[in-house]
Amino acid sequence: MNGPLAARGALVGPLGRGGGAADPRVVYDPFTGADGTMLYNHTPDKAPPGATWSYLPINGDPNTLYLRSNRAGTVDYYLAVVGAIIDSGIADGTIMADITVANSTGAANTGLLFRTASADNRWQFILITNPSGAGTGSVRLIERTAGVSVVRATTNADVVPGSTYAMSVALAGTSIVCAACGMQISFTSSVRSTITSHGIILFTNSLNGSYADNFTVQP
Amino acid sequence: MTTAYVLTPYTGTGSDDDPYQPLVGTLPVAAWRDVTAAETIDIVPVVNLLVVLVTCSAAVLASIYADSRFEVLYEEA
Repeated sequence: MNGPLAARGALVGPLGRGGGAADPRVVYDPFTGADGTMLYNHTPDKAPPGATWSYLPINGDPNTLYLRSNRAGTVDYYLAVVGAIIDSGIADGTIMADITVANSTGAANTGLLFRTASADNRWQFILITNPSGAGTGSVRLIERTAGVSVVRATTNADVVPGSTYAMSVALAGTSIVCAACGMQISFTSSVRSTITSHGIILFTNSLNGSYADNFTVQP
Repeated sequence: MTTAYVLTPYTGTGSDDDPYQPLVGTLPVAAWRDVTAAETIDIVPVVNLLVVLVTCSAAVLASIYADSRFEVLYEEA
C-alpha cells in the first residue's frame, strides 16, 4: 500500500463507522461476496435505487469479470480488457478505487472509467506498466468518443506490476483532475459531459489479472 | 525539467490499441497535456495540429527545437 491509500482511508473510515455525519457517497462497493460471483450479479454496498453493475464490452466477455478474494477481478488465462460501469446519478464528483495492476511485463490498461455511456463513448484514467517490467511506467487520461480514442494527457509514474494504487478522478464541469502514484493530471475538456455512469477497467493476460477494490463515487 | 508549449501533429489511428496522441509525446518527455482539447470529431479524418504543454529535460527540449515537425511556441523559465 502506498501513501494515497492511507490518506483516503482517513477520509472514508469515519464515515463507514456511522459517526453522525451523513455519508456523502452515492456509490460504494468493497466487492464483498463469494468468489466467482459475476460482477453483473453482485450488489454494491451502496448505490442509487435500481443501479447495478453492467458489463462494458471492450475486449473480452462478461464472464471474465467477477469477485475474487473480495475484490473485482479478472481471469488469468487470456488477454483481455474488461470494464464495468454503474449509474451513480451524478456527472460531477469524485470517483475513487484501489487498483491492483496485473503482474505483467506488458502494458496494462487498468484503472477508472468515468462519464461512460458505452465502450465507444468513455473516459478512462489508467495505469500503464513499463513493457520492460521495470517500475517506471505512466498514468494516462484517454477520451474515446464515437469509437475514436485520443490520449489527452500523460505523465511518467512509478507503476510497479502487482502493486496496488489509490486512483481518483475529480470531475467538475469541464475540469478533470486525475491522481495516482503521487502524480496528478489536469485537463480541461471542450465538452461538458452529463453522463453519470462510472466504473472500472481491468486488464488481464496469461500471467495474472488485475483487481479493483473500494470503488466509490461521491459529490 | 522545463516546460514548453509545443505545436505538434497527431500520431496514431484512434483505435483502442493505438489512440491518437501528439507526436511530441513519443519523445522521452516526462509529461504532456493537451491544451487544445479539440473534439475528436475535429481530429479525424484529417489529423490536425494541436498544442500541448510538455515537461521534459533541457536536452529533450533542445531536440524538439531542432525537429522541424514541431514548433516551440513558448518556453517557461
